[in-house]
Amino acid sequence: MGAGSWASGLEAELNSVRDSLKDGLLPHWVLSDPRLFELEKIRLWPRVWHFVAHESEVPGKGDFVRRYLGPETQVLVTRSDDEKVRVFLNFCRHRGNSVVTSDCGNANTFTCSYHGWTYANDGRLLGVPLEDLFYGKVDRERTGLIELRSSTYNGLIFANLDKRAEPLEDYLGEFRYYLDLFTKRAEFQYYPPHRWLVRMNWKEEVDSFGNDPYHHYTTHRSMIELGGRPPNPAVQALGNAVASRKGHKFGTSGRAARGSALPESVFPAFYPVWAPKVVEEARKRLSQDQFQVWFNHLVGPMVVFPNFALDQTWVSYGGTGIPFIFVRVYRPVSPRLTEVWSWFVVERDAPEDFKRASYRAYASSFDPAGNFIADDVENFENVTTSSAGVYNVREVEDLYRGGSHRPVLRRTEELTIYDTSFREEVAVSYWLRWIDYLTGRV
Amino acid sequence: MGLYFNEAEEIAREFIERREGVSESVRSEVEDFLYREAELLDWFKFDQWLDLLSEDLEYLVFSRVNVKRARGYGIPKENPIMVEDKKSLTVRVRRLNTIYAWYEDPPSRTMHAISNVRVLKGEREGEVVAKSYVVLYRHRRDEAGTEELPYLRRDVLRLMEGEWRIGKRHVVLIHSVIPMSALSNLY
Repeated sequence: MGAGSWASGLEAELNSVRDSLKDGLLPHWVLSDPRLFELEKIRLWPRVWHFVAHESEVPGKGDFVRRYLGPETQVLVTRSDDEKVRVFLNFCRHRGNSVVTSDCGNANTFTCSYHGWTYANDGRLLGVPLEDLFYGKVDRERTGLIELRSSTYNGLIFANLDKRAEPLEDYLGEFRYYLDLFTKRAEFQYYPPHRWLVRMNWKEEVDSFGNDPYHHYTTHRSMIELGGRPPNPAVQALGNAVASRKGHKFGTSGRAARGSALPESVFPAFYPVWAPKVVEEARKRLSQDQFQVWFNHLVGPMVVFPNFALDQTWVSYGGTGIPFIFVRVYRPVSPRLTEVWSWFVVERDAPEDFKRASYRAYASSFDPAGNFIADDVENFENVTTSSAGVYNVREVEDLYRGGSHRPVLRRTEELTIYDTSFREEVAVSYWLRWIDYLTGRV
Repeated sequence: MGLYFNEAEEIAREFIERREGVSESVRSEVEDFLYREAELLDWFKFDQWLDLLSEDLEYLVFSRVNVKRARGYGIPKENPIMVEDKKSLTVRVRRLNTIYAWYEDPPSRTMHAISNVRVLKGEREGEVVAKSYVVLYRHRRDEAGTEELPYLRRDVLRLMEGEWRIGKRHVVLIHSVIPMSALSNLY
């Protein structure tokens, strides 16, 4: 499946983008380039691990959800009658029709609406209507639903279209240490996702996610004025930014120690006030080190390469801050249009009144009617528009040099951990990984 | 079955239920109230709009999921798009009134077009159930066309000291994929 000579031309351009990035500069046209969008379809989406669902979304036999891998590839995530979670292409083996059009449901079988071929929820072809009269014998063994490679990590279900891709554990690599803070410290419940369309490139919110506590003080100034977030920027500047050379990124903000302006009771993000059991549970499930990372910070946003984002944050509407968790998938629709999928997540065993309060805090902040996200979207849409606007003005570049005056805390084989919550090199490492995929280095 | 199915379809049921009508004069009073409310929203008189809300307001907005017809109407009641009360809507209005509500300044221009209004007897004296269809038209910035958000509304209105007030508003969108990049308006 060669990408043709247009792709080799792009490789040269991307190699020069790589050089710019090493100097903390990203040519602005890159973001919305329609050729790169096409290249992503060939070299990125068919080769990465995609988050498709959480196990709590398919808790019982026969439960299924319909999801996307990248722009157009639809998959079914099912829990078959043998309790195993499987991921299939939503694709009838006869003509490629969708076998499921619901977003979710419970079914023993899936029947194609075209000629009625029927599959079990473990993928086996069960029935071919009027087989003797019309079709002739169909080899059942070789004509089941196409099952994809799938793998779970602490309840997160991932799928990959590439049989040769590295195992999920290696793909996540050392970064699992931080992903555990969102997956291992409790049993989680994922609510049905909300979906909406934003006129941005899918990478635009990803670019900000996990490495930009700096934007709060302007973008979300309205909420700061109303007491939704602390006015003292020092609170969010203290923390750690983490970059994985595998493209993942994470930032904690706040810090219990070093005289941050917040009282001790807010760490981690007010859980001790709302749900002390959650804190005890985390202490049991995490390693002592991991627990300290979670406990001593306002654990912040995270991106699992390339388009899966997770966040634990909080908001206050006058009283005690309320923590909440949400995760997102950015589904690319076109170079300048993205479908956001957003799940509210809560500790399954937390008190019901906390779950309700936490849900409300999420819905009023980062869901499509959120008081915070609207102003993020304002920026993301405008940045995407301006990228198209300078498409033929190649010398216009974005600056990725912020936070460079702060020291590196620690380096491992895969991770760089900075002694600050804000370091734009973290975003650079994401872009470099993206270029590695697009130039065939991964 | 996870959280996906509320077999009881509570929200759909309250939209579908049949109730007795009210007198012509009450009907036209309530209709006028809904049109006046739309006028306040569309001319950015949000503070005055807050005065129309009763102190114990319940305000919910639901989106939809695609499910087989046998499963019901696809309104997962566990996760509304908006769960608001008067206090939280007051925060929204105060936010819009700052000079930092970037997405809404310059503001989107809206028209809440209301039709299919039916005014029915409520549970209590002095209360009515008002059901209506709303198409929210919106234009923002340099967009090529008008954005539309059609939805179903079910209000419980109550007469308080001679004035109608909104006691409960349930909104059901028809979209499973919301076509606006932010639901930054009031519904």
